[in-house]
Amino acid sequence: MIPVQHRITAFIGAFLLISLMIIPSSGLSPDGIPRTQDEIHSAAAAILRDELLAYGSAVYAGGDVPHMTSGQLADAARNYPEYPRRIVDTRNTTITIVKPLTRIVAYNFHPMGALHAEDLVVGVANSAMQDACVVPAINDKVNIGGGGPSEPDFETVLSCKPDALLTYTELGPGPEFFEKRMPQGVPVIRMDFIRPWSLVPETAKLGYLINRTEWSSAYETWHNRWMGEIDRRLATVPEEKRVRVFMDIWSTTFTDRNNERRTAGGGQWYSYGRYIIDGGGINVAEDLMNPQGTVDIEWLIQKNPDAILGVMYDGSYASPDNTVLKNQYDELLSHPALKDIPAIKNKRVYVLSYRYTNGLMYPAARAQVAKWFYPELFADIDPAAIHQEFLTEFMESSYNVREQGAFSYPD
Amino acid sequence: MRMEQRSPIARLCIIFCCLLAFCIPATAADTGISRSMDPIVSEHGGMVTVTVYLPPSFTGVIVEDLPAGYSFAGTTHLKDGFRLEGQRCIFAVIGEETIRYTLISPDSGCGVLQGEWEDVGSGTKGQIPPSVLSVTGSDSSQCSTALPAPGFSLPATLLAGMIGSILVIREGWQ
Repeated sequence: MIPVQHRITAFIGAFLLISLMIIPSSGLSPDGIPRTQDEIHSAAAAILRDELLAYGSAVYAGGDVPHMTSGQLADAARNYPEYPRRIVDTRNTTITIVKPLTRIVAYNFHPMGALHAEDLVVGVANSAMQDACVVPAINDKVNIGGGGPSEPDFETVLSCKPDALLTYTELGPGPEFFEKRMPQGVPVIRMDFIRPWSLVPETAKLGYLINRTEWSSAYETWHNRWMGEIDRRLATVPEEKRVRVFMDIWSTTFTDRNNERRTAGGGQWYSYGRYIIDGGGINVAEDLMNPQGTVDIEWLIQKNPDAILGVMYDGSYASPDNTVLKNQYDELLSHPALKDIPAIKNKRVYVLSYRYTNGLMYPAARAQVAKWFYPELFADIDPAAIHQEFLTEFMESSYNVREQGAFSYPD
Repeated sequence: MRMEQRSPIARLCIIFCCLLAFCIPATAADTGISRSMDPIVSEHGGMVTVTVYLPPSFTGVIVEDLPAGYSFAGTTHLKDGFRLEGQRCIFAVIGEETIRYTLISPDSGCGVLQGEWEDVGSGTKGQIPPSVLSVTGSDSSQCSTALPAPGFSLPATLLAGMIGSILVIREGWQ
């Protein structure tokens, strides 16, 4: 006989479990980002009530709370129930808008093509101009300068009369440059679209914010379809057959490449090591907590990796071909100290362009890595075809990945 | 130009504009926002239900100042559309036509319930006419004196203005 107390506990446990299963299907999606018209309207009601209460509290009760102006609330009321819209960006800043954004300065242009939002962009970074071969509309935008180590021209940013600015969380100018100088009411949205784990949530948030949910949802479906397929295949690889991989980050500044290499361990804020894990490999530097990731060549020899996965801050859609990536490949293969490790002996050295891994086309790059590691398991998967699918379906571009660009080497 | 030199139509326009200027504050107060209480005179410690009536397109805030001694008991308004700050209730309204909330009466005495509204959609704001609440057996006259004297309604004011204008034109200024 089961004691009464246990029965009650079991009943409550079952009830909670059932409740948890029901909750996500009854309201917003589990991540709380509105995607459907109903979800957008329902979120707008909650946000507008919240803003009205903040306004009422500040104006009529002397409360010291951040609040919208009556003009902003009037805009919100005019555009209700489509607006207001609110997200928390990747830097944890709450962004609320009260009307459609139509003049965005996209210092980070990565997602705008895939979300079919080129028409909402007025200005782009100089570094984005090279992507005009994929998104010709970039040529019509104001070049605000910047990209890489150089800063954009703030006067040019202002001359665009932006209603929002989209930039990165860590790359490019910080809050002193943008947030503190932008006109009041112009939000600075910080999202990257370069980290594998945040591609879908960032796209969903931005799609909702700029009213492109049909495209962000389509991207999510496409992304999850390929990531799921890769996951399914890699799940069949037993632990003992996993490829042991060293990540070689091409460095021309901090490293004496003859005696040391740069890698990605667990101590890095941006884990390039994720590409190894996502490809079904084992990162031989996983336990390394050195933030710079510099290792002695002897350390690498002792790790005796089966394969080396290189990442190069070079290559792009604008590159005529992938020979630029060959530099890293050749250097590793001809390194005298490494000649006896299995990766070199078996010529299992692979190089990725950062432009292939850092972006919404990541499922294609991931498929490429998985295929390098487990060629038989992915024999029928063509990473270039996945990449082309992304460009054709989402960017609606005539760019041909088989004829142009530097994305990976040797394949 | 002296007034007697103007045409009758011009005189009429001037008078009408002046009246309109006088009427604007009354228009703001006459947006159909009102409140009812049930009961107005309650038992000590009894419940009073307050209903605020709003026009259908109202999007904004209603702020109700509860009289001293009366305490807030609850509301049927949406949970995320209400905030209580001391004796001040703030309601966020998006199209709701009524707001209902309940108060608990003190043991004795009376009080004046006052409110303000702001429709952010139309950019208008004003006050909800004050209402007196009292507890059975208490003298409510001191609270009633706090109420403003009744004024003319907007249609009556306009009608009077128009009649006045016609008279002025017919009789002249002399």
